[in-house]
Amino acid sequence: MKLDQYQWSHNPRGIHNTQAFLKINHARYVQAHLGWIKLVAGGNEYLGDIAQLNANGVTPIIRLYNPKFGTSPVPPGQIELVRQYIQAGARWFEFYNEPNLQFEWPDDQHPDYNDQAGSVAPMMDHWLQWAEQVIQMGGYPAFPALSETVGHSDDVTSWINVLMRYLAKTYYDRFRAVADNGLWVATHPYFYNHFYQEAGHPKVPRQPDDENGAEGGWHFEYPYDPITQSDDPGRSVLGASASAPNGDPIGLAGMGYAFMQRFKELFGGVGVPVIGTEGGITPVPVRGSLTQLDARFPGYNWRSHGEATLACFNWIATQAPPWMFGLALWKENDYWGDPDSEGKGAKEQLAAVQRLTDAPPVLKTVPSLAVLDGVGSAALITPTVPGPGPMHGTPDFHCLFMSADLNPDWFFDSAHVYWDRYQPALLTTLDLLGQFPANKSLAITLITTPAQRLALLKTIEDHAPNVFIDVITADSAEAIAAAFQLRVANGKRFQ
Amino acid sequence: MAIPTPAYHFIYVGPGMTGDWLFIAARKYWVHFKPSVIASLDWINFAPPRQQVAITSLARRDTAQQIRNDIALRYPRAYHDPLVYDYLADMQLTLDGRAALNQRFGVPDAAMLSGV
Repeated sequence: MKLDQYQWSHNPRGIHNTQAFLKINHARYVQAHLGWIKLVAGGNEYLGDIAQLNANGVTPIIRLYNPKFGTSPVPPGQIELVRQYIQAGARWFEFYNEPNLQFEWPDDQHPDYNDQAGSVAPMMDHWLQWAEQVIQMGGYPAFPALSETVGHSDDVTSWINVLMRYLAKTYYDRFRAVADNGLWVATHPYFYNHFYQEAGHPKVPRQPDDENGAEGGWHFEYPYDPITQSDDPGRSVLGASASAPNGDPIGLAGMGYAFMQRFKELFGGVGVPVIGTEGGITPVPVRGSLTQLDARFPGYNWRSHGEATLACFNWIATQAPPWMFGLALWKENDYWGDPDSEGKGAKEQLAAVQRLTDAPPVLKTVPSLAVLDGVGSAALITPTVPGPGPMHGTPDFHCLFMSADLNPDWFFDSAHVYWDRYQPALLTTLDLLGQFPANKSLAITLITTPAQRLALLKTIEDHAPNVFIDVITADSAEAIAAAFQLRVANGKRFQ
Repeated sequence: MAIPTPAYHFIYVGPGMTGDWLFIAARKYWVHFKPSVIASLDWINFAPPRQQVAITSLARRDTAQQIRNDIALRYPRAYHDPLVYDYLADMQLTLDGRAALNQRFGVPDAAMLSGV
């Protein structure tokens, strides 16, 4: 696939809707010349809006809402909804929202990038399966948007590193196939005041009252802008510098740069679309005051926030890397001054809305770049141990396997209750073992005659040394029956 | 789709089906044809790539369409042999008949070999 083959408005301006189920206001998106709308949907409530949005040049992005979703697999009902939205004309979909934050997980589970088995593996396993389904239906699946948080267990650069290395090690071919068939990256660039407009010199910023969104000289490339590089030479999104030992991606395109760096290194990637599906210059301004979270850069006021917001979209269209496609500002009620999600506290419409309304959009011309043009270092990774990974507690998969010389009636006469309780697969070939990924564990209850026992154990050991083997050695119907009765009586899957 | 001579043949016991459907209805069929039996479609992921896979699904009417959709979506290249019966005895009659006639998918072997 090539970067210019994605279907969208080519207009980087976007907004995030206020909340699921609320009716959307098409007229205001047209008025502000928006090109994207991020819709968090509870179900099918926006199906009827998709055609009108597309007709208005506003490309919808859909995320189906699920509270505290953790790393759960996509529910079948969501897949059906995705199918319906695609039929209605939507293409761009997200799954998982800031999964590096505890807020998005059940209270008794805790996300941790150091926990491959409990956090990283299930998240990427389930995400990849979802992504493949979306592609099969004709949609574009987003790599999940991480909260751009620094430090502790939710540290965003640590997360992007472990997620992409896990994909490279475990799903190199499948991930490349997804990348080459519609992958995009959702980011959440809340980028504070990490921008400026030059005042005649690359390192000298204009002050807020002098900024003008229609004029040039803007810098949104943080942390690669001249001021940051002068203050902390070598600062980058992922690498260490003197003042940012874990890297610093907190800029408009920061997580895009980070993803593309790993995408290129590991997978031979060139670029897939990046869209900020939440974010903007944050927090939104307060009339009469200056907001300046980072003292290295000028602050912003009510008016200059509007100038800079306009400028950031124009920067995406004309100066950003070719993969940077847009930003959906967080969020509609803040920008238009609507009441909050509980219907209270209507505020003033931000100056940014009028500024966008007054200025026609600058469209982005996307070059015809192949998404992949190499193989990446992960092509050289070969699993050191074939087959499934080691079992910790309950296996991901459990099967029964009978030796060929065993009378199957012995099994069918005695294993009914055991099967009802645990529902293991009943395999008649061991070929499947070699296809197991290292992130899944497998247990085999091996039912064998004494004559076949050692040969079968050796075969399994050779094909998949990490398999947990629960052996029932029996030379009579009674022996097999006793083995299964014991397991059922003790409530134990394995003896 | 032509009826295959599959490299890997699975019986998928659909959601909500008890062991009766395997241990009673499918017993003779299994003893005769020795397919792998699974209660989760995830197992299909582990069939070696580029090999023909056939899935005989056992289901009642209330889940049959969902199973058909799931298999079509996840494994579009697999041959799907859906058996849909609300009563155990009906399912057993069909599967026993296939075993007795040596018809893995309910048609003569000759038809399978000619790719009908």
